[in-house]
Amino acid sequence: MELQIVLAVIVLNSCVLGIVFLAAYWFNRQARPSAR
Amino acid sequence: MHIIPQSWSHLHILISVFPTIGFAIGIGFYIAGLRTKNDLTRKACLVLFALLGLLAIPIYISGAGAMTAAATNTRFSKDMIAAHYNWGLGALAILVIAGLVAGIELWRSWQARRPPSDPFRAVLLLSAAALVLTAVASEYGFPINHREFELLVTIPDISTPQAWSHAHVVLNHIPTAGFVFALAFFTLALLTNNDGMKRGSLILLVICCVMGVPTYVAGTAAMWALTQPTIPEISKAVINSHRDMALWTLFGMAFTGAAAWIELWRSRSTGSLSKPALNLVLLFAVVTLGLMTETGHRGGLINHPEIRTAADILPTNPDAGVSMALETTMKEMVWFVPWQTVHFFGYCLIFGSATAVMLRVLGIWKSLSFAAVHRLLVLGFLGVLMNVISGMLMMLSDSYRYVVSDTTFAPKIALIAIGAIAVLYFSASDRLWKVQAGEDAPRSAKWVAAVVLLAWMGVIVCGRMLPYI
Repeated sequence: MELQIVLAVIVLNSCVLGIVFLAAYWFNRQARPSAR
Repeated sequence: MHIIPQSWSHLHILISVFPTIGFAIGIGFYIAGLRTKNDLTRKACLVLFALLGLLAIPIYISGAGAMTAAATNTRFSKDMIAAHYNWGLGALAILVIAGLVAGIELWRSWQARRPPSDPFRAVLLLSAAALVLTAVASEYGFPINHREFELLVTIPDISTPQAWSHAHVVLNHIPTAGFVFALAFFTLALLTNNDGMKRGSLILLVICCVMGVPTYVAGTAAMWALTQPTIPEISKAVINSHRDMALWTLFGMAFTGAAAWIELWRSRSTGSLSKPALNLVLLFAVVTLGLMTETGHRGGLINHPEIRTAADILPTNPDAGVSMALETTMKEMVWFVPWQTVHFFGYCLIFGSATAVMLRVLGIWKSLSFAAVHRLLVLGFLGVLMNVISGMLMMLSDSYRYVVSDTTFAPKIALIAIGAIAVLYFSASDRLWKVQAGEDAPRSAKWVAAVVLLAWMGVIVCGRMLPYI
């Protein structure tokens, strides 16, 4: 049971942080003056 | 169309909140219009002030009608109504004068075909006076019906201070009425293609969305204040139906605020506002305003028996609804507590990016231009979004403990609002944007940077102290 919780926490946190960093990367690309 | 008022009392409580919020927003836009020499914004503000002056007529008529209706009802105190009436008359007089002066200035500038000048700042001063007086009159108006504000009986570990109910009644009008004015300015800006007004409207929309967080938290505390111990006439089922709609509104505000914030931040680097992004903000804002209207109506049904009509079928099951289901799920989900580490990652992002940007502004990291560090802000913004969602879920799982038992929760939420609103300065200031590598930032920017850093530091300290104080 504990192992499942640890795995669930690692997977969920990785997903959230992955999405956040991808979003930050994508928004920064959109914010390049050349992307106009 | 159940939200259309069917009585003078309903019409009065609906329209009388608009002048205070309208003047606060109008004054903000007016000053911004003066500083950026944006004539259209100043004209729009004069039209707004004139319209608010005209609103004094239906406010007075509906107020008189509501007073007649309340005269025979023992629920309402005559002294309280008299105090509200006297302050209300004074406020309406200033409201009319401010509207009239704004109208005259508008007419004169139109006749002379020149931009409005207002050399003695009469419009500004009268509007400020109208803002203060209408706020005072409202403060005398709220307790006429909201008699629960006076309840002072406190049972340790059961009662919640009624100051929360009072705070919720005041706070909820900032996002709701604020959205109406923000959408009006935004639509006008889109139609006239006025970039300054577009940016101002985006800032206002973000501020309204940020204020949704303290409103929701104060509402949760108000729910405890009204249901534990129980108060006759107030039903938990009706509160829950209001709370469900408020949850959807919170999502709507997250989408609107996020789209508006990102466009403000992004347009700094590209130098222009993107039309599709602005249309997306407009779409989100319209949907959110619809959700807010229904939320406000359901909120009004909680404790305004005088406005209920036969068409208002009130819910009776206190355990029904999304909020109750979500609360139970959060309590039972065994991995939810360890997953809360996501909230810690979130504040690392916020504090990390805020520190980097603020240190540059304060002059510690001058080798970079401000434009270079400004790009980091989006990481902090995503951290705020992540933490508002995870934080609201955490609060739902144990709301009584957070909002009532833990004394540092209220200052934490207040500091979140201050920190999030102050950060807007860094995407709004033209002077700061032009600060090159090696140059010093303007002094005003340094003060804002200090406020941002201290606010977010305070958020972390208050958050950590939650279980202990």
